[in-house]
Amino acid sequence: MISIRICARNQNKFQNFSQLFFNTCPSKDTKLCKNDIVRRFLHRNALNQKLKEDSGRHNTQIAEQKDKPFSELSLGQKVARTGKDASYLTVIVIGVSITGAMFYMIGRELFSRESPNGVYSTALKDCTNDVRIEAALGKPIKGYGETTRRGRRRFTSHSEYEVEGVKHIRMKFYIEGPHNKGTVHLEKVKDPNNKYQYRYMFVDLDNSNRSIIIEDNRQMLDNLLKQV
Amino acid sequence: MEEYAREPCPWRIVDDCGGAFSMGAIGGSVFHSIKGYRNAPAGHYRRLIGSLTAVKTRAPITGGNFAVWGGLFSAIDCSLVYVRKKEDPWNSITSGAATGAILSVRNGVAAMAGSALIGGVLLALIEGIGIMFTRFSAEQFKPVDPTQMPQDPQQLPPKPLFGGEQTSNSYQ
Repeated sequence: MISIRICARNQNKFQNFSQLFFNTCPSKDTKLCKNDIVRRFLHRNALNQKLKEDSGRHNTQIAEQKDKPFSELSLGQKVARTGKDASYLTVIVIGVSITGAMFYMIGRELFSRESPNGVYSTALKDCTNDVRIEAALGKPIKGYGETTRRGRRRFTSHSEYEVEGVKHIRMKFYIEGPHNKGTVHLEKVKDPNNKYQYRYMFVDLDNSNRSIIIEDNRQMLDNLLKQV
Repeated sequence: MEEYAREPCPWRIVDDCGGAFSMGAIGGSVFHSIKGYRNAPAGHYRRLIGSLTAVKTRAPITGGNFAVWGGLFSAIDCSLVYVRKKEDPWNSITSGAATGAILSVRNGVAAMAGSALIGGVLLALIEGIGIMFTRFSAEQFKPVDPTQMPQDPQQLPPKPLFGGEQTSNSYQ
């Protein structure tokens, strides 16, 4: 890479600068090509300067080549250059990996059915499809999670845990219809086929002491997991 | 039960609008004070004057732009909540993309697509940070003894009150 520093008072020098960088050279010998460009650049600058001096205004500009090619460096400089490159590379790698990890996490949260958000989606669907809940709450049923200070309700309170190597997830969210509100509690367990199954799911209705049990597979699942 | 008795939704638009305005005004003041200082003619006094002028003229504009973004975003978010009957991260990601698209509607379809993408990705990242925080804050509710099952809620068959998932799980 050649980088050239210019101290130019006038704006149109920058045009030359960009031309320098985006100029594509037909020659295959890159070194020659670069030198060629530099020479052309310097030549043009010299011409410009001459013109400027002719017109009576003094103008200072310096074009200098930094960063010698790697092969011309001494051993110490080589070490220093490699260290610099390596440090830049680590910064880039760390940044890219953090971004990648974040996108992976978000993608898993949004698209997987086993993430808390996926569990919430399927559970909400199962609740709204239940006839008893529809009778108790009324027809358009909406679901939401915990209210934050800023009026957001999209995060459900949940806890994931493992018991004897079997993954469990417990969750609580709220549903609301025209007649009543309710709190849904559920627990899902990974069955031997590594799929989440409801261990239980029930809805506590707000205005009554009643709770509607939608799923209760505790006996079956616990026995199933004991056998494995 | 009181904390979720009130619907946040239509009021949240005003809330977000104001919050975004103040955020933009404060951030814009900082940004434009520096920019005005640098662009002013030489001399400390002149630089300070320039900085002050830039803040006076530009910071409210930045605040206004932010407020437009926040208000539109929140309005679309609430509409999506109303239509979908569900609140989840998709709402905010979609409304971020839609806001970006709507605000650049006068620049043509390509610009709309670009800013929709930027808005969506930005909001997805914000959601991701939120998800991460909830995950880390949820970490402390894990059972103390991992071999021990947390107790089942007692509504299943009989029913006393079951107040709060996290507090009432006694791990024996």
